[in-house]
Order: sequence, then structure tokens, then C-alpha cells
Amino acid sequence: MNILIVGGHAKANFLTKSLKDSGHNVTIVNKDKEWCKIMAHSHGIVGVYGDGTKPFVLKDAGAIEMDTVIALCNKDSSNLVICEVAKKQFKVKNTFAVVNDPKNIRIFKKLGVDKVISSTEILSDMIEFEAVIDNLINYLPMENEKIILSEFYVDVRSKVADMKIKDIDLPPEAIIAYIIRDDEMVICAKGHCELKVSDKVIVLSRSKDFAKITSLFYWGK
Amino acid sequence: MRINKKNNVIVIGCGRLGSTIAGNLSDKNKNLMIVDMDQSSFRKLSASYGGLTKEGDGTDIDLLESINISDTDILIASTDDDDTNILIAQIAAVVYKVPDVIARIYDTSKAITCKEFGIHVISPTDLSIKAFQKMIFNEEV
Repeated sequence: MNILIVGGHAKANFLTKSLKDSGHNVTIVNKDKEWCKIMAHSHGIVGVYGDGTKPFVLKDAGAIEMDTVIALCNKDSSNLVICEVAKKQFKVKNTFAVVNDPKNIRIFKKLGVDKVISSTEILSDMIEFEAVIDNLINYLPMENEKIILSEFYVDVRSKVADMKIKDIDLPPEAIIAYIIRDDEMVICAKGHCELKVSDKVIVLSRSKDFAKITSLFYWGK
Repeated sequence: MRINKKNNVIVIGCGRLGSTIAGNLSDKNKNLMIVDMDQSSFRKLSASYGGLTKEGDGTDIDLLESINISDTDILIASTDDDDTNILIAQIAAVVYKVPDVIARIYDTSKAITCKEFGIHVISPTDLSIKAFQKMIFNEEV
């Protein structure tokens, strides 16, 4: 895939490396001339120096050939303009914007940006779950965060330890799907299965029920 | 667009353009609200300005909702930054369905989606070019 990354320093550097490693063609656009040079040298890619919100700069960077454009500028509004110009003028299929204000996620999607993520939101989510981070192993929101796929560790102090699944007070719309025992045995969870200490459990739930789920596996209040 | 019947106006960006337009509309008895990041920029408003002022970030939807953006008839985005004006104008037109949205945009090549959303674009660059052509070649463009 041809991917254009606009703006960003550390983020652009990291993304370029991982995208290059998975075999994609990466081009970057940056306002910082020195940074463009450094990126072009260290990754062997094309670095275009200029303001990526200007259509002629995107054109010089070959936007018309791109499958994906990723906007990583510090200003939310710049990222919107980059994605809109890429989409409308250069017919880029996938546009991806990073925003500071989580409220802009909904707005940007409404305005036609394909993927929007907010690092602020991810950070605040992580802080929110920090209390249970010890036994929350995996956390994957799906379908615009309506559904959450999560993996928990059953601690000796967890409320659900040594309980049968049918006896656990799960929210009605949540499912315990699998139990992983001794890191290799995968058990399809049925009502009569008992959760043992040091099991790992895969849970599917609605995001509104997630706090309840974490409290089942957590040993605090 | 006719201003006669429309009463509630929000102006975002209290620079020379924003403050002057707000002053003019206020003199015509419209309900004005002007927003700027910097409290001191409200000094540019004329002494007769009878509208409200609000200090804050005009791209923040919480602020926009607090000044009743859904009830406004006209929104004017007149900050000094094209990208910011484009974002504000599109939020107003698409999310809050403000009937008339006007944005000042220096580089119109960026405003590619504005027309599609029915946003009126005023470009100082285009206006200057037209004025020049009229003056020098004596032609209307």
C-alpha cells in the first residue's frame, strides 16, 4: 500500500518504521525541513518539506497515488483539512486523523474522515482502568466502542475465583466465552465450568457493563 | 442571503474583520455574540457594541453549545487561521445545521468541501485579485 504521513515527529518516526517493516510504501510531509531530511535518510523514504494542509504540497507528495493518508499534526483543524483535501481532491480511499479533543472524534467522522483516534481519550481510558490493570490483560473496544472484548486474570482474591459460571452475577448481556488454563488448555465456557485461580478468561460485554465486569475480577471494594 | 429577518449572529474571532462586522450588525439591532481566545481582543469592538462577548476556544463544541449555537441564524468564522475557520464553519453547518455560515479563508484551495456543505466563503486574496484586475485592466471578472 502507498501511505502518506503528514506532520508529527516521534509518532511519524515510529509509524514509518513499523509500516515500512510490514512492506508498505511510505512518504512523509513535514513542515520541519531538518526532520524531513533525517526521516528520508534514516528510513530511505521520500520526505516532502512543506505545509501539508496546502493542496499543492500534498500533490507534490503524490497524494493522488496514495491508498491511505494519515494526519498527525498538533492542531485538530489542520488534520481535518488534510483529510478532506486528500479525500475530495485526490480521491484517497482511507483517511486517518489524530485529534487532541476526544469530542472531535464524532464530528470528524460526520465530516467524512474515515478513522479518527484521540490519544487523550486512550490515555484517560487507561488511567480509568489502572486500578484493575493487574488483572485486565487485554482490552479491545469494537463497533465504535459499543462492545468490549476483554481478557482477565483470575486472582486468588478475585470475587469469581472458584465459582461456577452459572453462579456468577454477570450482567445479562455479557458472555464469558473462553477459559484459558495453564496457558494452553482452552475451555469453551459452559455454565457448570468452574473458574480456578490463575485462569485467564475471555469476556464479551457491552461497554456500559464493563465496570461491573471488572469489579467481578477485581479484589478491592 | 438576506440579513433583514435574521437576528441571532455568532462571530468567532475578534480581529479587525470580526470586530468590525460585529459592530456593524450590533448597530442594526441584531443579537450578537462574539468569541475570542484572548479577552483583550474585545477592546477592538466599537463603543456602541451592544452584544455579548465570550472568551474561549471557538472550535470547542462545549463552548459552542453554551452560547446556543443551534438557535443562531448566522455564524461568521473570522479567526486568523484558515484551518480553524474551516473546522468551525463545518461544525456549525453540518453538526448544528446553522442556516447561514460564512468563513473567511485566505487560501481557497483548502476549502474544497465547504461548498458542498453550503458554507459561504469570503477570500481576501480572491477579492484583492478581482480589485486589481478591475483597476488595471478595467475588466470585471
